[in-house]
Amino acid sequence: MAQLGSGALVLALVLAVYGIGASFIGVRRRVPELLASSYRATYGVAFLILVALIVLVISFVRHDFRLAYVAARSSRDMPIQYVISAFYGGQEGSLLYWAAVASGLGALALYLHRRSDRALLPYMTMTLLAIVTFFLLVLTIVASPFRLLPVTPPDGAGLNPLLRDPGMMAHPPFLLAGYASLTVPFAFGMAALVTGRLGSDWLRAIRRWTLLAWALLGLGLLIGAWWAYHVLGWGGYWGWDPVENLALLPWLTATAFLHSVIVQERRGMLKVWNLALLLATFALSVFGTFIVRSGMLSSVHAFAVSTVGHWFLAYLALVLIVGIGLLLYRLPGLQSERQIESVTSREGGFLLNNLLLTAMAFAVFWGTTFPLFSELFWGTRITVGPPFYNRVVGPLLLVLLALMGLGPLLAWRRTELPLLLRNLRWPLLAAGVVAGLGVVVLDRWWAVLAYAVTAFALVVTFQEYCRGVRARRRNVREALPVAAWEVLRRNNRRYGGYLVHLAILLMAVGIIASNAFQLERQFVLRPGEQGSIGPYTIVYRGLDDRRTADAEVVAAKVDVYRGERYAATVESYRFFYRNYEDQPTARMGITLVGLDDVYVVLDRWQDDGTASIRVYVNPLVIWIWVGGAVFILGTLTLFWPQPVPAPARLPRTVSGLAREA
Amino acid sequence: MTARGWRARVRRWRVARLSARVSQLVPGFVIVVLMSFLFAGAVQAEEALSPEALEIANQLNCPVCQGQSVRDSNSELARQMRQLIQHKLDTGESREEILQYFADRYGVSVLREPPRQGHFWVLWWGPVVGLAGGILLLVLYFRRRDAAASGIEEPVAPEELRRVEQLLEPEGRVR
Repeated sequence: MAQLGSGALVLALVLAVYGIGASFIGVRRRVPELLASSYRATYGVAFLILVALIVLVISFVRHDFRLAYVAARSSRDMPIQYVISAFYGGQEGSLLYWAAVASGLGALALYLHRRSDRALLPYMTMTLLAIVTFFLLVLTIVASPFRLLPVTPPDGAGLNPLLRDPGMMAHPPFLLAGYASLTVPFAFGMAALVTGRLGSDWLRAIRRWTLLAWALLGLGLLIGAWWAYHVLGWGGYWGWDPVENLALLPWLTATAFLHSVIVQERRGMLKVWNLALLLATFALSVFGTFIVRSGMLSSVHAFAVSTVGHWFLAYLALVLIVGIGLLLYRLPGLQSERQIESVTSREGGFLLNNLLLTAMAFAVFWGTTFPLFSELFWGTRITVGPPFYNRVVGPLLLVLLALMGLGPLLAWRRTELPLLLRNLRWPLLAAGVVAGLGVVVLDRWWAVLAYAVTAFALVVTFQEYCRGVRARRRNVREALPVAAWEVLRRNNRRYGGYLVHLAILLMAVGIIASNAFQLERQFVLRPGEQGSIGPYTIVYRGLDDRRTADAEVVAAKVDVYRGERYAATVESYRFFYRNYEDQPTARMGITLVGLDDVYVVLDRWQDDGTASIRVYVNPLVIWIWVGGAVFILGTLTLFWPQPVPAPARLPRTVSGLAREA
Repeated sequence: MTARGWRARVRRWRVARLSARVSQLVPGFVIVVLMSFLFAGAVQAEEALSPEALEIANQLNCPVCQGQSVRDSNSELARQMRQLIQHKLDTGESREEILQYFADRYGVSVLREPPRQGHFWVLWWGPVVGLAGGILLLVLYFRRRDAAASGIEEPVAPEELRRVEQLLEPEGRVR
């Protein structure tokens, strides 16, 4: 089995290198047979990597401990779902998974675009295969998942206890797939740069692929937040951990790209900027991997540290040099087709959106990498923790939310002020009401401000949707639900976008509340004793020792009362996994009472059952997860197949160049 | 391993953790241990922390953990640091004094929020400079457009524009 796996990888490597050569010679010498052969090579590479992946999964399921990787990550007593997901629980497997997703999606893109974007395909294939070749080199030379042990152990060591959680089944696959799928738009972007076909056809080709990568990354981040919330026990969901930050960076720049690309589609502007964003997004994803694997920054993800860091550094350098070089080379052909006319236009709004998103990305990048510079230049080790990010990103986020409200009301080219003011009536009224109520009820001025802004943007979003529905009903006589559905379906890009806005706003509701009004208390209680936190009383009922197949579990039982009324019983756990007794992990006891999460952490305990317990009351956190669900709905709407409008089918090959020449 | 042995190991994990850390740790550790012995009479094995103590503990990085604060860490060192914070609060020390105390012993890297002094200003001003640079670029972009745009496109009469927009759906498709 192991030979089959490593054989497939070596073969894939050879085939990928051949594919690069074939497409290069094929396109230079104009040999269509060679080009066709290179495309087939790409399908072959994807298939071979898939074979290797399947072999690895089977090795895990069959507990084949001859493989060093399997023996290090799994054991016989682990539940089957963790045994399977253990295959991406380490460096070798996650790189293999990455290569599989990148090559698989690349091959799919090649197949789907085989007729529509012929001119781009040779270079797209070349870029794709070059990236896959890099991963295959790493997988065959330094980090082979199929390395055999000299002696087969009777049982494996088991998965790192931090990873034995339901979150493991979703967070890494989504996040890694998000990273990997960025390869496709990047490959198309490079192809557009090389061929000089910088009109709108490459944009059409990559919009969906970028959307896919962005949605996967976003989901991965969300699931990671949920995982952190119920496992890490700091009462929060986003800790500004360096690794989280590095995953957030490409998501932020991809968000900026998805917005500014609309401007290029509609108005033919911002071409250089869009390509730069695309390049930055891909480079940031590589940069993130490099930092994580090299272990240069202290993080809760420290288990991912390894020795392939410098490989990724070389890879990053190559991506940046080739990308920036090509961009500079094509700069003369990238002039705007039209000019921006007014600041108060939809274009202007998108530009401001891009400014804010990139400023946020820059701030996060700055804070995350600053410890490296500090150590390098000043020789001081420092930590940049949540306070910095909250202070710096918070205000930018607030302005962005306000813009989320204002943007949809701006018209393309220029906005007529009376019309804008008329559209702003209800949103401003809502913001005023919320602010007025907030000043009376809440005692944090910034939360009041944030809620007013959120209300403003929420009303705008609903108002826009209602206007769309009303306009449709005026023209086509339809029942309200039918019209509401049809508007969403026919104009899925616009209203899917608003759904995503809605999702972000719902999350904002939860994020603001849990940051501003979180309560926190710590108690040392003997069984039967109680403590109070805000309107809640908790009664500690004692400890319970349990065993599962692979772990010892200590559970603390806590009854939660709201006022006098019994609300729920929660259990907060500590797990001691076999072979990892010195790294206990936890699962928090969380219960939803009204709109508050009561969040119980078991810190320590003594033999007589006395326990030290931390309790948080996190208001409205549930809205973050509701927002997450809406986010999924929104992205699905955005993906909804849409008939390509007829004019877009016309060949508009070198419009960008021709116009300049 | 038998179940009994396993349980014993589980119980011993704290001790094992402690001794493993001692070898890799800075002298600050010894100080904390000594302090906790000194105040053993005052500080019980475990004392409930006040919200203020938790707040301060959340401002400090656990020196032996990866990316966890003293408040959230389960390590022995963090536990002792928490108790020390509580004790210092009880004896009337201020938040700043306590943070300074830990910064002196473990270096500034123990603070989760870097101080605003010396070269740390580079950290704090970086995003501001970045944002200012972005705004400047944007302003220059608009300026250049303003200069170039004047007179390029024929102005359209508002009535004409409204008529055309009425003929088009919001996304620009013909009805």
